[in-house]
Amino acid sequence: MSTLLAMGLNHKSAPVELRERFAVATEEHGPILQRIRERAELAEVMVVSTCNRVEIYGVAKDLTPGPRALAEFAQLRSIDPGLLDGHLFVRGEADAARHIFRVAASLESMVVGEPQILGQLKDAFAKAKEIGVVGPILDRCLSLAIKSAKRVRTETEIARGAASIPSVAVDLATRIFGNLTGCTVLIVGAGEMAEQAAVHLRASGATEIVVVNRSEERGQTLADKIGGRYERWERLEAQLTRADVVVTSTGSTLPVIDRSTIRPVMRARRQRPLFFVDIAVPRDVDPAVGQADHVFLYNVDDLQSIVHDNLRIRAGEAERADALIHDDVEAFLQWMRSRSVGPLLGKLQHHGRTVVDAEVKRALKRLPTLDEKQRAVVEQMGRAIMQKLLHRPMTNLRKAADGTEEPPDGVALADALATLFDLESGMSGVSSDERSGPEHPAPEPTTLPRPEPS
Amino acid sequence: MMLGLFIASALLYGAASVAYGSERSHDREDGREGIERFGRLFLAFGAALHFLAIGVQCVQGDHPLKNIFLATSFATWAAVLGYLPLSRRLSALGSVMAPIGLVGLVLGVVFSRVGGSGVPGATALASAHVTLAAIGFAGFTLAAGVAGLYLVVERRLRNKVFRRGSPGMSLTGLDRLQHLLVLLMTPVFTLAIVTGVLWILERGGPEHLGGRLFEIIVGAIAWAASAGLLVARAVWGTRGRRSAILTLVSFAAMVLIVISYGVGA
Repeated sequence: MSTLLAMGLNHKSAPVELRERFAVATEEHGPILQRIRERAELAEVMVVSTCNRVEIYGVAKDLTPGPRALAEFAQLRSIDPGLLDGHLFVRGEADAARHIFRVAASLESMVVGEPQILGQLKDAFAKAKEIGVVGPILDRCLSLAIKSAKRVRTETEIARGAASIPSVAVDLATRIFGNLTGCTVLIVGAGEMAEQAAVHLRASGATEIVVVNRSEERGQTLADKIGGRYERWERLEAQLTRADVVVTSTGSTLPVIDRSTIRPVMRARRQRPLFFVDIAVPRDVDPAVGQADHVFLYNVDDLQSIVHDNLRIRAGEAERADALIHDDVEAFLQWMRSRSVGPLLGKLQHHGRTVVDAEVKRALKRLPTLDEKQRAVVEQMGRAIMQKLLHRPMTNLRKAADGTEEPPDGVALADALATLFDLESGMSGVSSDERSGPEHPAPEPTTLPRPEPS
Repeated sequence: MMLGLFIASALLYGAASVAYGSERSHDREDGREGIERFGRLFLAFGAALHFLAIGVQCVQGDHPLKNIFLATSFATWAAVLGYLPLSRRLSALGSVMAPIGLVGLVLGVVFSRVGGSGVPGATALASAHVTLAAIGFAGFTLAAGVAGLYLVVERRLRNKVFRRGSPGMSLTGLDRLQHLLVLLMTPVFTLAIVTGVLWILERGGPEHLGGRLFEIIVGAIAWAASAGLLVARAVWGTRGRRSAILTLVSFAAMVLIVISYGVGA
């Protein structure tokens, strides 16, 4: 039987220093996949490389090529195998399928429910197909995993609610202003978090970004970096009058915006709402500012608490998502099992036909007086006996392989059938059309993990 | 037939009220399951049957201009109809609009006969007054719903009560929509007041105005609130909470007028 494999390293198993060394650029997919496929005797292969994971999904005759593929990959990257101890994983069969489905549904992501992974997986799949290293099993597995992931996103709330401080800031701004197109964002201070928030707000459509900072050099640098405009500190009040969203992250120990600053500002704004995101500690905006009409003030704790709530809810939704995925994984595994008995059944039928043809031929030789019609009846009888004899065992084997019936186990039954009829069992090896050139045996890895049995 | 339409429509409005109410009271962490998904559908079918009921009443000679109850029924139906296109983005407003539709339906069907055989001294002026008042009331019902929703959303944002899920219309969007509705409905309401006064004068001269003093005073308050809102927005940029409160004041005054007419009838 063909075995599905999922192996590699991710944010759960390896530090970023190691992950980045394995990272695969788009143009490297071709040569890397071809080489791993050849050296590790994989019938099908693809690689997913993101900032949180570098994983290889493949199909082989059993689990043993998994560690070989990783060893080959490590060799390609000139990584000392000693560094990899405990950082790599190999999963096979049902575990591999479950892993791939979970990755697609973002249940294995660092931030559960994040949307990027599905796109990255689709791209990796498309790339592998383009290179020609995807066969029927990976094709089916990835297609179902992508479909399942979309179902998870639709039927659960796993992707709802922002999961980082900058994205919560954007979410809140959207709740206040709607479409952010045309909004002006004022960045007060040049902190890293303010930069991230500005980038998120810009990506959400904010038209203008103004940076106000005491140090002109740092302010100008940040403004250049985020495609904004620098204004001197003395212009803070004027900029507050124009801005819709204000992100503050200065290093000041005292509030830089207080009630007396905001009063004339709000008068000049003609009561247009103003949204403050104060991510500085100590806070940059006096809490009293939040009491003013049309001012919405959120500090870092407020935002963090929203992030926490959202992540907690996402984690709860992950259980529901897992249950949905379970059904889809089962459907895939059932397909795997049923396809594996096809060649065996073909061989059994072929065997039956050969026996019948030989016996009918011999019988007809002994009955030379039969006319054409009588000969046809004898031939027909031989085939009918064969069909009737084989019908029930074949049906039962199909059902057992589907897993739609209780024991006996399909694999055991198929092996028994193959042994009894002296056939080569299709469930114990990769069929020839799924395999390609394992000409160069790869060295056995010494530091790589043993395959995890399913 | 009328009874069947009334019962079916009332049941659908009731179901929509429960559905929207259930959605509002639901903690979205539990997901949106069950009846609350169908609020919009119930409301749409309820409004459709309400419209059929109004049509049947018209055929029977009880047109919307005949008395205050029929006019209120028509106005609330119009308000619900106006809400339906906005319902995807303003689902929270459904919990207000569905009961309003139900109240209008009940007034129009159950109390229509109480209101007498027609508007006393009905003339073209009277018809114009009732039509404009009904349209104005429908528009202000919707505006008041949006204003109420604005206050709720604003309060949540200020108190940092952050609900997950689709945020619906933004705070600024709600403010703009409310302003637009008031902007459109204030002239209609003004004309309703003018035609109402002219109608009273036509019926019995200035001495008759004293008999409608309560409605006139409350009408003036409603008008002052809505017109004041528009002026304040234009001159000082008044918006948001103050604007929403003025809209609600205006609407509350209109409700008092309707109640007063109802009691009088």
